[in-house]
Amino acid sequence: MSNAATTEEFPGVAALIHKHLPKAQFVASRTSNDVDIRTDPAHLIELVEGLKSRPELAFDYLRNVVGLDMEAEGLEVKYHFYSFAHNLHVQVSVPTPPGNPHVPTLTHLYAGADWHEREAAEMFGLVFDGHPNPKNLLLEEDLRIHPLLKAHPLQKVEILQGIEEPTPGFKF
Amino acid sequence: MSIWPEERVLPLERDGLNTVDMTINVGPQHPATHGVFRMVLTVDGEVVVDCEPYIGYLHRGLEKLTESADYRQAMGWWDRTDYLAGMCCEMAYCMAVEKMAGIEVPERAEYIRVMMAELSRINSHFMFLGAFGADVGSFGTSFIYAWRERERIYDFFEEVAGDRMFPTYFRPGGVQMDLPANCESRVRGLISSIRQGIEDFDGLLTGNEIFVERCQGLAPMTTERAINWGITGPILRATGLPWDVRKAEPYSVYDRLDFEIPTGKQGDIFDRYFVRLAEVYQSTRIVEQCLEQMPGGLVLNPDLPKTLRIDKGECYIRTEGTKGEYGVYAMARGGNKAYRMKLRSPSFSNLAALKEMVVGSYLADAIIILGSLDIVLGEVDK
Amino acid sequence: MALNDATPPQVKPYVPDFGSEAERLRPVEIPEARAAYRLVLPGVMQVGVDTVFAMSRKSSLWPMTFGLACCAIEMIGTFMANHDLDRFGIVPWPSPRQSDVMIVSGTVTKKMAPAIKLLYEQMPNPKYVISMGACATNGGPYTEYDRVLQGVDKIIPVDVYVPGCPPRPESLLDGFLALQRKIMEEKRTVG
Repeated sequence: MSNAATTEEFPGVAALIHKHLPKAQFVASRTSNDVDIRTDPAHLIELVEGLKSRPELAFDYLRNVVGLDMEAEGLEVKYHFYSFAHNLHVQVSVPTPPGNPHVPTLTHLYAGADWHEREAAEMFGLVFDGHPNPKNLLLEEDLRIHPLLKAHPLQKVEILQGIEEPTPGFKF
Repeated sequence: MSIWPEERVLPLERDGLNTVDMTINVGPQHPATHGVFRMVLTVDGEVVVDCEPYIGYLHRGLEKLTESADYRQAMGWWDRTDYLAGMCCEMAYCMAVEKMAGIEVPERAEYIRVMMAELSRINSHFMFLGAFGADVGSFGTSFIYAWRERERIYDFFEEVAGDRMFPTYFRPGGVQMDLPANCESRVRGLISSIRQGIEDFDGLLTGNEIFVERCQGLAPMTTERAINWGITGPILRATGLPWDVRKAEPYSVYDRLDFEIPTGKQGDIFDRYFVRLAEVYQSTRIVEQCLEQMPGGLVLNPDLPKTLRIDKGECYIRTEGTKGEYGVYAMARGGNKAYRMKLRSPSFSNLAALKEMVVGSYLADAIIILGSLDIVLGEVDK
Repeated sequence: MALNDATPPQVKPYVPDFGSEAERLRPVEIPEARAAYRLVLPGVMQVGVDTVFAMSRKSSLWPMTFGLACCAIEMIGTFMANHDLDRFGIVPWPSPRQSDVMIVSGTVTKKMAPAIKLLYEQMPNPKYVISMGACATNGGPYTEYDRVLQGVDKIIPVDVYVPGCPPRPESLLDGFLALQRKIMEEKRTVG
């Protein structure tokens, strides 16, 4: 899709964002149908506050928060923002270094981030610093497993039906 | 102190009356909750003071299972997320796979997909009308009215696609098989009976003074708060913002179809109900236009490989689901299985705002506020 | 030959010859069994108490509405006018304390399992359980996920399994009829 030699530095919406937030640090690229902006957790809050408050950008709707397990490269969080006023959509990716899955929370900016972050935290083991209520949402309250990690296996049918022994060392 | 209660006069000053807040568990099994949803309400007398929702009682591992199955096999689980309107979910999933793989869909298939998706939307809205009427007070009548039309639509689905609720009729690259020969007359008959059903519901509910009294002015919501919570769909349109994914970011053939976006004024319960009632009518208009505009031709892309392998791809597909923006984020990294597929479910975001809507209203109204959100737990719990 | 001789005249025993109708008119063997009821006097009938109890139980099964997931929609559809269940005496009842049968319709997750067990224990005897759909039978399409209980019969005893994903309303109707046959069959063993 995008070759290193012919890539434009700020495709589509990223050019607009760079124009209005010149001090924000990010790397832009294209996905199959949108523009992706990559920052790191330290610069996330600044970028998102800029996206929300600048009237030319006005990204007032947090659509989606996706947690990802990129095995060797650590966990990653992707945010999707939309601007009603200008009909713009952008994806913000935040890779976290392996072993340090901390990302600042966005609940003070977008109320809808609350439940999305709780779900991403319990499914992957991400930690959203400053979240007001970091309890399990979909899993039981006292369960500390992270089902969507690639290392967490799907159970074979025979194990679940109690016919076969589970793999030794992995107990629930 | 006298033993007769009438002779004991209690000092009924405002601040002197000692009361205790009561905790009521509207548990996972309750005839009014639309699925297995639990909320713990703290009530002071009859007024709700605090509300804590608990979800996850239907968490079935959609995203984990999708990573373990082929692109075409995984659609069976995505059907069952919004189980009231199976084909709307199939549409979003197929579009995500097609976008990543770069597969083209023939035009006839696009029109068939839109027609099926709109009929599913009508299905889901009728279920809402039935269940909401039951919440407000007409215990069984509204369900029966709703099911009269739903059974007709289910019969049509069975004739075309093979199954009533989850036909897995769509495929990445088109639909599975063509419509039967008598389809046009069948659909025209369906549309006229659905329009009659809307009239019946209008008479049953909107014309009922008790219903209007209960619902009007209850839990109003402003557009700014709704956007901040991430609320979309009929609830956002009821607050006054005429935003619909089919018009703002059109997909499939929606840009060639002519329909309106019904909006409300103050975002209260009555507006949400009325927006959905009006949307059923708009959906019938869309189905009519699909019948008129449908070209001939193939219904499935003939160059599909036997096993679908996608080397690299990432996309976020947003569609107008029945409850709001139904989004599918997909990432592929080689092989015939998806690397990550996330469901952005509208009911999940709508439900997060429940506490704000319910606090300050009466206990009976808390139930109908929950009903007006029109949640489906398959989506919320993934 | 005297007139009061004891030998009777030689008479061939009468064997009726039906000709071509012989097959149709052969008498049927009735197995010896207990009759369900008998009339002892005009207007007075004698019936075993177990038969009466079983007939009244099967004719008035009140299910507790326990819709969990997609199967709940088909269950509601079976109660509705197209495939009416009310004509069998089956009236959906919200409270577990006053219902006879629990239709577990939908996927049972481990988070929901304690609530199901509690509801089952709250139902008074005699109670029955219909496990509707593939998810309640053995986990269904969500078999491999560890948060899903692989079948509701792991926590409560099930009487009738109705297969399908989701089962058609006619299938659920068939399940109820099977439950009625089961109630009539077990009338002598259950009090």
